[in-house]
Amino acid sequence: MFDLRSISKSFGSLKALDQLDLQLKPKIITGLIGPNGSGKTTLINIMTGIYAPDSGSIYFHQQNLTGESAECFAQKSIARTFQNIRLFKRMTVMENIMASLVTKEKNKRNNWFSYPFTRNKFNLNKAHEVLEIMNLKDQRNLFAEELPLPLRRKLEIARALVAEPEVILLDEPAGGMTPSETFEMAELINLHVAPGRTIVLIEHKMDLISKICNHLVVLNHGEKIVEGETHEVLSHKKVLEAYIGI
Amino acid sequence: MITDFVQNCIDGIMVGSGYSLLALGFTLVFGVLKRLNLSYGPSIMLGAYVGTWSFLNIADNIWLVLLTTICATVVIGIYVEQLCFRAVSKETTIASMVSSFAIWMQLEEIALHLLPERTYPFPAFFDSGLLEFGPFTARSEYLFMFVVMLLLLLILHAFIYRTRIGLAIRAYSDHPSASAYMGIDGSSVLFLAFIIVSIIGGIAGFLILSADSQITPFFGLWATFKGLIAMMLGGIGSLSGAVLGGLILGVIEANAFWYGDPVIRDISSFMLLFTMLIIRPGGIFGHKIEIHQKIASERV
Repeated sequence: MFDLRSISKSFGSLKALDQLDLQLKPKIITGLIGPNGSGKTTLINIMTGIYAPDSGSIYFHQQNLTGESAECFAQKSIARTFQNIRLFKRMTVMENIMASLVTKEKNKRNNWFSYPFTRNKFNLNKAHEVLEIMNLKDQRNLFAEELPLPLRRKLEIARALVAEPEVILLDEPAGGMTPSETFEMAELINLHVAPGRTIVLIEHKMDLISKICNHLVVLNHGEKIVEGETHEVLSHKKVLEAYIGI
Repeated sequence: MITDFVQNCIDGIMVGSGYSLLALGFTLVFGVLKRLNLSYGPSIMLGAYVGTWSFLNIADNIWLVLLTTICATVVIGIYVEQLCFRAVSKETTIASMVSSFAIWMQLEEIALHLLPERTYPFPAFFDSGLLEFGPFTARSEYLFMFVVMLLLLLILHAFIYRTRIGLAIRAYSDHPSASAYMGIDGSSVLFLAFIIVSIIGGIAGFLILSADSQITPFFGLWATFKGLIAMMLGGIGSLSGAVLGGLILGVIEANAFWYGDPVIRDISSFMLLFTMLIIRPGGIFGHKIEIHQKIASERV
């Protein structure tokens, strides 16, 4: 479904990605790991239209999306979260979630001037459902900036989830969390985010990776060094070399 | 003594409603773009010049003047948006501010070529009359401007907070790149914001000039000063703040004029701005937002 062919990206003299090929398998969780600066975030920035690759092509369901805008990628049912959380801080939790549905209005009777919180019961119910799943119902009227870090991360996932995307790219969803919060996040991803979806997960916490990823891709210096089943990849010689230098 | 003071406050609120209208436009552009559009005042001035031109050359019809003023301000607004904000990179805030200053000069030149005399008559919307409320009075055209300003505030508030498109505008204003991942097209949001702001500017220019019955090329500079000061007083990005800032500015000026001197009036507004920038740099409503954000960031 997601097919990246010979993707290269440089920032000045720094080569972030070098002739990278990646085919995402549908409806499984692919972990993307590698040391800092290995090109993980650059890769998902390319997969969501933030950066255009210097060379190579991006296909999604055989459609060439190379060079398209982030808005276009979002319209193609590709959602993401960020390592540095990007919420609408001055909007409430509920408004953050509804903002995700603002361009996905299916009912033609609801025009741009209709009130999204009363006119579209379908979207409203979806938003409440996601709030319930992510345990954010009690915080729905708080401003996003009032939430502590773990809830902010949950809200970012909720915002991605409510649009019912086919693919979700999660960039360090447990970043800055305690072990118990990380465990809870793993449960949430396994139970509510992953089923029926294609997930790409960037994470440094190997316990989270081994707990939820079926497939693993390892990057180092912008190149794919290993790819395969999670348990096999984690014990691969090249991975151990890249991570702990043995 | 107290009667004079209350009358000054009434006069200040009436005149201040014009400042509030200007500040609404400034705050909406700044709230959405996070960049300052210095050519907003001159855009309104040139729009009003086109209105005056139609009054002098086409027909003596006040509705035609209103329509041409608003339409011309919208066209100029689109021109400014394309040249200063769309063409200039989002990261270079200074570049778009400087280019909006360059457009300011350009718009004044165009106005002077359109109508080369210094002062032109601007038709009154309706015959001026003095309304009496016991010992107090108010001019009917200013009272009308005050009512229009309140109505515009309500409409804008409903538009921004009670519509789907308003939600998209707020999302873009809060975090442009995150809104792109929601599929919100930033260019369309900017374009729409400029159209709305230009319509408000056209109405503001028409009402203020129609109350003053004349227009000069200095109106652009005047509108920029009054609108910016009112916006800064109320708090950047806040609709209610813009209105409150405009009204406070009007009241301070009216009292300074009455108890002091005509020269004191303009000095007082700048002194008020400096005092506010020292005591509450974010303005009346902006200060609250800043404290709120500080507490929130400490929590994380």
